[in-house]
Amino acid sequence: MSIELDRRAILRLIATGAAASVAGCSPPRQHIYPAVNRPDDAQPGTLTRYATAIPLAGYARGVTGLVVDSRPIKLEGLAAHPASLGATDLFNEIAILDLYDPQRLRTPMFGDRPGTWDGAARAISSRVAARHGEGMVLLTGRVTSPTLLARIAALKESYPDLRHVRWEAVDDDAPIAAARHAFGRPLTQRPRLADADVILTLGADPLGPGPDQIANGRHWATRRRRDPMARLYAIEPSMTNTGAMADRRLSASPADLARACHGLAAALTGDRQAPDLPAPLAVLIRQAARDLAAARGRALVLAGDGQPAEVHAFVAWANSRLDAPVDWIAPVDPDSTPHRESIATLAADMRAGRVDTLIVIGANPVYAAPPALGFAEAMKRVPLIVAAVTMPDETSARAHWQLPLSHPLESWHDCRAPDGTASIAQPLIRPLYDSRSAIELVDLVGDAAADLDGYARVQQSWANLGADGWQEAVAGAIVPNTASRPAVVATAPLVLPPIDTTFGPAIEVRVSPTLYDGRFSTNAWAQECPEPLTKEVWGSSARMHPADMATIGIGDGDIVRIAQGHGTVVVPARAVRGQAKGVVTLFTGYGRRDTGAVADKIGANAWMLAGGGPAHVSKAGEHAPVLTTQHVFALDGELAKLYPVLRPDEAMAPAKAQPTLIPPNPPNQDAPPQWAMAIDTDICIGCNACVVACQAENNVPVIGPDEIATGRVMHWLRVDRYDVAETGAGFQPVPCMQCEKAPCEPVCPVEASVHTAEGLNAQVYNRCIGTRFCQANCPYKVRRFNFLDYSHSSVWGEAGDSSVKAQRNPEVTVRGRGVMEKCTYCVQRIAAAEHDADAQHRPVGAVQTACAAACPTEAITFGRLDEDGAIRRARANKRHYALLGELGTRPRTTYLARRVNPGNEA
Amino acid sequence: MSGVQMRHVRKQSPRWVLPSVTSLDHVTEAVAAPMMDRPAGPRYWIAFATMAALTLAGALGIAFSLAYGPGLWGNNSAVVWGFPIANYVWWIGIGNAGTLISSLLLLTRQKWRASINRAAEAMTLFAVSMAGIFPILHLGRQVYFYWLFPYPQAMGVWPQWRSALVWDFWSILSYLLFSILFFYVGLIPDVAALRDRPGKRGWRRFYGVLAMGWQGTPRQWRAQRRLHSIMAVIAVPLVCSVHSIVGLDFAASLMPGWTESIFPPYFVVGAFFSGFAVVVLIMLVIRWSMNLEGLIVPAHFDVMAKVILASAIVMGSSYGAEWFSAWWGGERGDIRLVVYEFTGDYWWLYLLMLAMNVLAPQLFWVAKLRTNAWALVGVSVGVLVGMWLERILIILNTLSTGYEPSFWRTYAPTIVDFIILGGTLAAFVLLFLILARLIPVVSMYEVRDLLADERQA
Repeated sequence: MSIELDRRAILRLIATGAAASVAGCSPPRQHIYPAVNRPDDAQPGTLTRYATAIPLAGYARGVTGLVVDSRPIKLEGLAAHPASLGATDLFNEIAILDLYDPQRLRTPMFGDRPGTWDGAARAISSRVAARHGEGMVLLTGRVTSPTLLARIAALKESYPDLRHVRWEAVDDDAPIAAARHAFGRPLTQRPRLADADVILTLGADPLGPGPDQIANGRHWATRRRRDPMARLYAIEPSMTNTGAMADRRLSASPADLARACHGLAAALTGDRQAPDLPAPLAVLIRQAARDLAAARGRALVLAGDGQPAEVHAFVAWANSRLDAPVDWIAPVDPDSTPHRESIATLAADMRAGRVDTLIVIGANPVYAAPPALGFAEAMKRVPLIVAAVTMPDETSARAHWQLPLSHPLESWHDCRAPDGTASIAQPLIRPLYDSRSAIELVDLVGDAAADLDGYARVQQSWANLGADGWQEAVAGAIVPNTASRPAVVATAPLVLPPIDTTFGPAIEVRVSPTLYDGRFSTNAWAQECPEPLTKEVWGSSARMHPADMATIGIGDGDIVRIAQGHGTVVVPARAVRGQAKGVVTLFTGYGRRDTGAVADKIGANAWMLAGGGPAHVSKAGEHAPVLTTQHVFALDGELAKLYPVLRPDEAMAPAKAQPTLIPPNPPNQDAPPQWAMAIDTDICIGCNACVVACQAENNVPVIGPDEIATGRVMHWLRVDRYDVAETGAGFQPVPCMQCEKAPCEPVCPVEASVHTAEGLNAQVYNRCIGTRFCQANCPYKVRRFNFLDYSHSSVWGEAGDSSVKAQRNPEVTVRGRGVMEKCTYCVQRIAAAEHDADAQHRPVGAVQTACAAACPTEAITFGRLDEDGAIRRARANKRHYALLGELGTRPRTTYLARRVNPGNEA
Repeated sequence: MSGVQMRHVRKQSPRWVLPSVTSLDHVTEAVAAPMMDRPAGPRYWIAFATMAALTLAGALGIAFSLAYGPGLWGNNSAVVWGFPIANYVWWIGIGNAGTLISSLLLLTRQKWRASINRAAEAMTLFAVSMAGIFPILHLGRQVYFYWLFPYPQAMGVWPQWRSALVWDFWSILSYLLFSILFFYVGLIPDVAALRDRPGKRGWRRFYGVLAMGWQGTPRQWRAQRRLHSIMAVIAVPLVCSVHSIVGLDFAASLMPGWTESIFPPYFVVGAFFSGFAVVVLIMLVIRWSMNLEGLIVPAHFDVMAKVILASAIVMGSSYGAEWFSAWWGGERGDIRLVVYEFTGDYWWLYLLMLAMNVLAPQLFWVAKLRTNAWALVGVSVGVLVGMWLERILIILNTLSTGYEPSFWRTYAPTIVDFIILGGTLAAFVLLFLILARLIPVVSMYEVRDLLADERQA
């Protein structure tokens, strides 16, 4: 048989193909409202900003989506949203890649075969029709969405025996239990860090990963900028970002931490016998207690989510005694059943055969539930399991039906911020695949023929806003006046945690600052983002105290086997600074299976050790350390000038004038704007939001573990981590310094590295032939070379990267192989601002680089050097210094030095 | 080679041609006969096949590198330079000796150079060719290497003249062109002699074309001598400038360990040093394989060993000067670099380099070892290894520890790096093997000159 194609047929086919490729992205079907009040001109290539919200563990964080041609390409903060305050964190920055992730589930799957939504709906309804939902369980993550809660309630009305189980692997069971004990009802503690003069953390990491990181970071930085400098004490099992920023921090085992509570109680009350404390701990408690007591009303004690309920109860007492700046609000999550209890009950029911239909929406118990529950085994007893996921996971792999769940940016939904503020989240793009939102899915369970879409459901539940109110709420992604009001609470009773003196190592399972509980493991940006403190990428380790490692005869990077209860993991050990003796710390999110090429077989699953019980650590193999992007953290001798640490009242020594033969440039009234950046290392919390914001904005490719192993990196902005004092650490974001006398420029043989009139050190990709002399001669080592064709190679394995290309910023060149690239100060944003200014005949306005826009603590300021403003203020600051200023490079990016309160005065 | 220990050299009035060489014809026959009349033996073909295979492997390594990019090598984001730059500096250094032997010794009327200068010049030509591969190969986008050339184009963009890499481009280019011309001018009388010698027609025609109508008239001789001498006068500063500029590739920078004013002369001496080591090896092989014991005599090796010894002392002093100036200057970055050289990631390579470059040649204080074949081979190979290590360590030590400790990274070469380096070594030998069957490896007319002088004396 032959196919006859004449010329016209071929032309028709070409036209069809071209049309199909143009129709790749489409706006949502319903009208969505841009944040700025201007007509939605359909001019191609223009950038439109829409406010919306992205949930993390159920809690909303407002974002501004940057949309070009109906294609969201970047997420930024949303100033009005209380959990964003205009900034982002790593998880908000990487969300855009999840949208375009080629590993996404694209179509309903029945077993290994593609199925249809009708098929799945029929499969569910055939089971529920006859009964009142008996034996049917809906398992979700934390739900704060009023609409989704309403739909679940409606579903329960139709099927009274249906159970809704909500479960988050990163739970807040301990603080809620402590609140129950202290106040007789479940309450959530909301510290007001901006009002805290003295903070003592007990294993707490308010500046670390979580739904509140941005807000906490901002409030903490606000206070830190004010004089006199606030004090921060930290007692914790392993170093956290908060601990790194502390004036004094001590690592403590769980037993020592409990002892510290006893000691603090004794010091605060003055009428108790202080327990025996190790000397350094006793000193720290004495100082902390003195400062806390002196700052009554402005002193705050915080306990980490991983701490037992007794520690939280003790902290509740301490805070009420100190009259601490803390609000207690009714939990935003209306379900106050302990998470661990709900999942354990569910597993027991499944094992006992009491569950015949399990519908999982956005939860992954097979991966993250305690191994003792044997969730995967229990699933075998359930006749019908339907799992709705954006990315296939361990649970969906064992389900009968896998249904594609829409990304938050593809669906209408609503959710509440950790402070209760509700957001209506508009989609920025029509679903890329045949997916449904959680709201639509719950409706589908209730009625296989349901034709109401998520938009109608969300609109229904906010009908009280009226049309104008609705538009306003959608455009701003905030429903006004919905924040929870602080509860009036009684004085909390004193509870002292028991001092556990059982022998053996304590296992600390911490939330990964890059992958969270594992939900971001599939995200290549997250995997390649260095962990803030060890700079590990593409892998997980067991952090241990060197003495503990010596005891079992292992060195840094040797493989250990850690067994606890029902779980065993095998990972490389890493000797880290600030680790408590007797504590082994692991990060969640690794050891994934069945999820795709990015996350599978990376590291080991720390949730296997979350069950508690006696642990055993033994040597299990050879040296195989996890990759890191930084290997030296200590700054000895003269290197200390790279990261100066000052006392609060100290000033940097003024830089010596550089002898030069070149006369300074004459002042020029018509000179274009001069751009500069100032980075305050005193409030940089090392969160990595800037690193990934830069990656998203500037089309920085992911290069994968093999390339990292050879010592290559592509991030334009790196965050250097250095040791501070005996126990702390500090962070120093290093983008291009944009030197006025740049060492990279004279060495380039083809003039690919040139200076612009605005003071930028520009890299002309087209002209670059890749001699790499510029990077060899760069004292800051901020240039990045495309050793291979990174922008066209994929870390997504068979899935390819065609969908990821849709994320790319059309304003930024995609660099080919053999070309040097580096931080441009987001020159495309500068150009856009100057273009606008030209068009409107007004002076160039403010420009924010992607990193500065992302920074939760506003540590990065970008602006003009030739005008009075933030940059000039920063340069006049007594803490101002230029990195390696003595080389005479005259960097445009400069720093403000870190401060540490002196440890032991008075 | 006849016996490992060559006959000892008399101090007074050395004879550079053995008495066994009796007549001027004898010289021509001794050089030309093995090449033109006798077939290449199985040893030749085995060596040829091996080298051809290794060259092919190297060519494949280069082809893959061109296709996939520099990512196939061990270079990383901090140590952005690696094998290609080290190989380049090493190869171009080797080329140095050939030019200097021909020109400097010609100008100073060192007649003994007659029997070794042809091979030394060929060595220069081949070494510079090998060196020339690397600056282009090492680029990220090799196809645009010509942007270093100030050719007229619509954009009006020129090379950036402040960059040492542009100077480098010109110095390699001029050096290569000059070496070809110098080699050829010195070759003309000999190819004419081969043209006139009985032999196969095709070959004679080939030599005839090369000889460009050389008839040996007094006028031609005068012109050839004059041109050769003038070129020699140009060659000495040229060769010094080439290696100075190679030194400036590093010195015209901001990095500790590179910004050293001693680099240009130090690179010239280093080049001379490694070049002589290669000349020694080549002469040993030619003498043995082509039965030229009568023309390449122990006295030659004695002289060359002395040159190597002297260079080793200069090299040692240069290292000492680097350490001293770091200490005396007190620049923290420089001191850290010197400490890193001895205690850092590559400390054993550094010590090995010092042993090879400074200690091993000290053996040549012993007169007997200067004419002992094994000692000559051992020290020469040692110097070559040592000098290559020096080149790579200049790159690695500085780039592995810059100003920012957060970006300190070590370097590990890949198999492709080694294949390409091995490929150029094989190609170099292969070119020599081909050369040995094509043109006289000993300059016949200059040796005849020398013989005539000695017979007169």
